Amino acid sequence: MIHQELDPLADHLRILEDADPQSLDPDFYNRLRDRMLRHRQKQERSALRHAGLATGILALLFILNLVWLGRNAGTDSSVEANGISGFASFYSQSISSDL
Amino acid sequence: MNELELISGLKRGDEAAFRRLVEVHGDSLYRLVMGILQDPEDAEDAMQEVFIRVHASIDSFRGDARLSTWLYRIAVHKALEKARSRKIRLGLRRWLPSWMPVEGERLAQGWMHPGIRTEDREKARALMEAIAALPERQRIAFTLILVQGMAYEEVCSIMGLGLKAVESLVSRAKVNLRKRLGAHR
Repeated sequence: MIHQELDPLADHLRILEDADPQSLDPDFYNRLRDRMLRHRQKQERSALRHAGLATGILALLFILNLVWLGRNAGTDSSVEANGISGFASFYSQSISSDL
Repeated sequence: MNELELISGLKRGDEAAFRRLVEVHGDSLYRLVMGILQDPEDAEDAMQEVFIRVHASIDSFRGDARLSTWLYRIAVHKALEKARSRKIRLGLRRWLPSWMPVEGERLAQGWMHPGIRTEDREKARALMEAIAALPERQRIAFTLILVQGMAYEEVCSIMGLGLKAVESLVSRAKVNLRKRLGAHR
């Protein structure tokens, strides 16, 4: 054993050994549960926001695509000649060529 | 409830198991986190983050190490994260105008372990300050082994270091602390 007079560290550490052990506040669990609930709600809101944003972007792309197809269809004589069925056929060809 | 039942309860999302986890491991984790942070508010915050992380990632616990080792590893990580963010916050204080409220004021006053006898407070304060001034890894190794009383093998597992490295960290921490405390006497 290190003599306390020679070792200031042992002398100081003894104080911590003699101290009453610290413990968590008894209400800690309730506060933790509240925070976890808030954390979960935040995650759900964030997931909803992301899903909303993704849907919005997809919708915008879809609309832009329709506008672009509509403009191209206006100049395409085969679509003019074949009406709606021609437009649908042109649309499906465009989609497959995009992919 | 033994450890395996506790782990399987946690993986099922059983709230009773989670409450049991906090009851069984809360105090020892709190002592570790307090040993590193020496601030009750930051320690409580870090503890909440530890349990949120445990709840979120219990499925990734494979059982290679003991549950307590895994928990200590998360607690050390969170406490260090908190200590670093506090350091940054305190560093930013000097750029704030003097009229702004200062969040870190309580840190400057120093924290005192509530279980320490009044006559020992001066020495305890010196020890706490000396521990807080140690380099990060020395502080962790010293706190785990000499303040928490953990076994070297477990500390190696928590810190992800070999026995020699941990022994060396503790030895250097002791030298640094003796120097500081010797100067204080």
